[in-house]
Amino acid sequence: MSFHVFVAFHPRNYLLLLIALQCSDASSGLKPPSVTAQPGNSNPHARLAAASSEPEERISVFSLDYDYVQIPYEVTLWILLASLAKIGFHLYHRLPHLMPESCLLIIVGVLVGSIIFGTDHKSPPVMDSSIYFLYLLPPIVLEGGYFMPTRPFFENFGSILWWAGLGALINAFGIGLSLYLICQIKVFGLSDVNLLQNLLFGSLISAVDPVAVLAVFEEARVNEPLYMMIFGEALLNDGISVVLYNILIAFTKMHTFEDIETVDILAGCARFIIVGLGGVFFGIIFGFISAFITRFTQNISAIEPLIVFMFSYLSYLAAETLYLSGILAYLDVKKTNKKESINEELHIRLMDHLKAGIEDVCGQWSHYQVRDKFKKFDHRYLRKILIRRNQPKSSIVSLYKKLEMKQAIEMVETGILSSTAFSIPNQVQRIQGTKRLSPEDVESMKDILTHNMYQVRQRTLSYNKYNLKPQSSEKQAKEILIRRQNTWRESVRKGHSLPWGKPAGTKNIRYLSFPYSDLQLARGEARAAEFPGDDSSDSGSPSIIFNAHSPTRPFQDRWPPQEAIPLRSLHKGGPPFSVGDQTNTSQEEHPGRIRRAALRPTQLFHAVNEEYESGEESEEERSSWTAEHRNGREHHKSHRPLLQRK
Amino acid sequence: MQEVSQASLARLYQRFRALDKNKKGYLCRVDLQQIGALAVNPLGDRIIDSFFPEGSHIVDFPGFARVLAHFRPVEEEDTRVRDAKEPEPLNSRMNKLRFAFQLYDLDRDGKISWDEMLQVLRLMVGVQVTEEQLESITDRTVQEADEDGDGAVSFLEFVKSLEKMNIEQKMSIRILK
Repeated sequence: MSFHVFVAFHPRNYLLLLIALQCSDASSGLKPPSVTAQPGNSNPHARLAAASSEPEERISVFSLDYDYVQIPYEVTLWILLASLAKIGFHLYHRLPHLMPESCLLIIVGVLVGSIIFGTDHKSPPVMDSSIYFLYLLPPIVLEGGYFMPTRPFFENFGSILWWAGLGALINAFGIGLSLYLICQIKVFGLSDVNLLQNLLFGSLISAVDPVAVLAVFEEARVNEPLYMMIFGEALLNDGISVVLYNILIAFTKMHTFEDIETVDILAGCARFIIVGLGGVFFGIIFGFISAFITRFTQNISAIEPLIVFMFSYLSYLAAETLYLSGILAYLDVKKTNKKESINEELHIRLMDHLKAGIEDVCGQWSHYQVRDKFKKFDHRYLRKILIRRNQPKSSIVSLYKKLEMKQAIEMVETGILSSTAFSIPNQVQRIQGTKRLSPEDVESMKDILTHNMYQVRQRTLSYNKYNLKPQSSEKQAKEILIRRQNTWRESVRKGHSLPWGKPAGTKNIRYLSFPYSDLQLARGEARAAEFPGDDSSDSGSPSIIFNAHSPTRPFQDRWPPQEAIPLRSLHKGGPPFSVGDQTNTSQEEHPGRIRRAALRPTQLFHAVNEEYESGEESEEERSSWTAEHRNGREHHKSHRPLLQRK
Repeated sequence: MQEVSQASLARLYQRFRALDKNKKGYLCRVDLQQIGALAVNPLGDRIIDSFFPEGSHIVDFPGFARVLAHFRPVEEEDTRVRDAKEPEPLNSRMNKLRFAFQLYDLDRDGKISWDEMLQVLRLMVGVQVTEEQLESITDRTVQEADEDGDGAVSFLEFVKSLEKMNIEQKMSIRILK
C-alpha cells in the first residue's frame, strides 16, 4: 500500500481523506513495487493515474513509500484536522451557542478514533505515556505559563496555593477513599481493587479543569480574588495531580500494599515537596539563564524564540515537576446589563469607569510593600543584568509605536471633521425637548451605545486562549490616548487645560480655523508618535521625549502624560515663568519632558527617544524644563475663567 | 460619625506618599497623571480633577482621603443608627451620587446641560460613532431624565433616573472599608 494523497484541505475533503485512509488500509496487505490506482478513491488529485505497472523488477517511475512517512504524516494530519475543526467552529456562527469548543474537538477526536479503530489501521502507534509527557505536554504547559497574568496571580498567591494544593490533595484522597469504600461493598464484586489503586485513580481524575467554571463567570461579574483563585487552581492542580500520580505509581511498583510503611508515606510527602520546590527552582534558574542569553541576541533575533523554547523545554525536562501548567482560561467579565433606559446604561458605564479609575488611584495595596520592594530590586539589579539597554519594554510604549502616522492623522482628522460638520445646526431647537424619537430609534441608539462604549479596564487580562483579542482593548486605548493628546494640545493652545463647559461645536471650529502651520504642527506631532526601533537619534533637532515607566507592568498600566506643548504658544502666553518649587528629582520614573523646539515654521519632530532610568539629561535641565512646563500649564489654568464659581 | 478604619487609613497614607514622588506633602495633578491606568481611562482627566477642590491645584492628605471616602462601602447599620442631625456620611448614596454628578457637571451649576452630556458621551464612546448619532443619543438621554423640561438634568432628576440602580454597590471599593 503506497500512495500519496494530495488534497486541498477544504473541509469537505476531510471525509475524503478519511475514506482514503480507510481505503489505504484495505490494500495494506499488498506491496507492489509500483503504484496502482485505488478503485473507489474519489480523489481527483491523486498522481496515481499515470503510473505504469510493470511486474518485473524495473526501476519504477513512481514509487511511493507510505510506511516511511506514516508516523509523522499521520501525526501531522491529525493535528491539522484539529486545527481545521477549530477554524470551522469559529466560522460557523451558530455552533458556539450549541456547544463549547472543547466539546467539538472531543467529538472530532472520537470520530477519528473510531474510524481508525474501525479500520484496524495501525495509526500513529506513538501514543504511549512517555511521548505524551515528553512531547505533547510541554508546549501546552509553556503556553499556559507564558500567558499567565502575573500581577494578580502573585498578589493572591498565598490563598491560591492553599486552595490549589490542599484542594487538589483533598480531592484526590477523597475520591480515592470513597471509591475504596464503595469497592469494599461486596455486592459490586470489586473488593480486589485495593486502596492504592483507588488512590491512584483519585489522583488521576482530581485535576479538574475549571474552564467551564470560568466560562460561567463570564456571565456574572466576579471580583478578582475569586477569579484568581480558580485560575490559579487550574494552573497548579495539574502539576499537583501529576506529581501525586507519579508518587503513587512508584508506590505500586515498589511493594505490595501491606508493605508500605509510614516511612514510605513520609518519604512520599517529602518527595512531593522537594519535587515541587525543586521544580520551581529549576524553572527560575533556567529562566534567568535564558533571559541572560537573550540579552546578547540583538543581531540574531531569529534565535530568540528558539532560545525561549529550548530553555523552557530544558527546564521542563530537567525538572519534570511542578511547573506552571494549566490552562489559561477565558474570562470576559463584561457584565451584561439588561437595563431599560439609555440613561442608566450610560451612567452605569460611567460609574464603572469611575470606579476603575478610583481603584487605580488607590492602587493595590494588599501586598504592596512586598511588590514594591521586589520591583525596586528588580529595577536596580535584574534589569541591568538581564535586559538589554534601550529596549522598550512597556507595552504601552510598543502600543504607541504601532500608531502609524497615517492612522493617527486619520483619526485626528476624521474625529474633527465629523464633529464640525454636524455640530453647527443649532442646539436651540434640541433643547425644546421634542419627543420625536420612535422606539426603534431608541433601540438602535441603545445598540450603538452598547457596542461602542469603551470597555472598563479589566483587572485581569481578559483574553481568550482560544481566540486572542487584545486588539480591541488596544484600539480603545489608542483612541483614548489620541483623544487626550488632542484635548491637551488644543487646550494649551487656547490657554485652557480642559474644555470646561465649552460648547462642543466652537471648540472644534476653532481647531480647524488655525493657520496652516499649526495644522502642520499637529501633523508633526502625530508623526512624532511613531518611533522607530532602537534609536538614540538626538540630532539636536526638536523632539518629544517619552518615557516609559516600570516595564514589568502589564499592558494597561503606566503611562506618563505626553505633553506636546509647542513652545510658540507658550511664549505667547505672556510673562516669564518663575521656576517653581516642583523640582523633579525622581530617579525611577520620569515625567514627560519637552525639549525646546526651535521656532521654525516647518517643525520636524524627530522620533521620540525612549529612555528609562537613564539619567542622561542633566538634573537642572530636566528640572527647569519640567518646572517651566508645569508653570506654563498652571499659568494657563489660572486664566481659566470658568472655574470660578458663579 | 464613621471613620475609615485605622488600617485603611494607614494604607491610604502610604499610597498618598507613594504617589507623592517628591515628598512635597501634597499631590498635584501631575502626580495623579503618573498613574498609567488613568491615562487609558476615558474619564481619567475628570477623575483626577475631582480630587482637587475648586480652584486649587494641590490636594493634601485629608482632601485625598475625603474623596476616597466617597467610595467606602455602605454598612448596613449606618442607615439605621445615624442621627438625623449629624451630617450625612460621605459614603451615603446621596453623596456618592453627588460625586458622580460632578463628573458630568463641569461648570458646577447644579445641572447637566445638553452640552455637558454630549461631552461625556463623546468621551466614553469610540470614534466610529458619528456626531449625529451622538447628538441623538444625547437628546434621548436628556429627554429621559428631564422632568421639568428645561433641557438639562438637575441633580434630583439625575438621582431619580438612577433610583433603580444599586449605587451603593457600584460605587464602593471594598479595600476602603
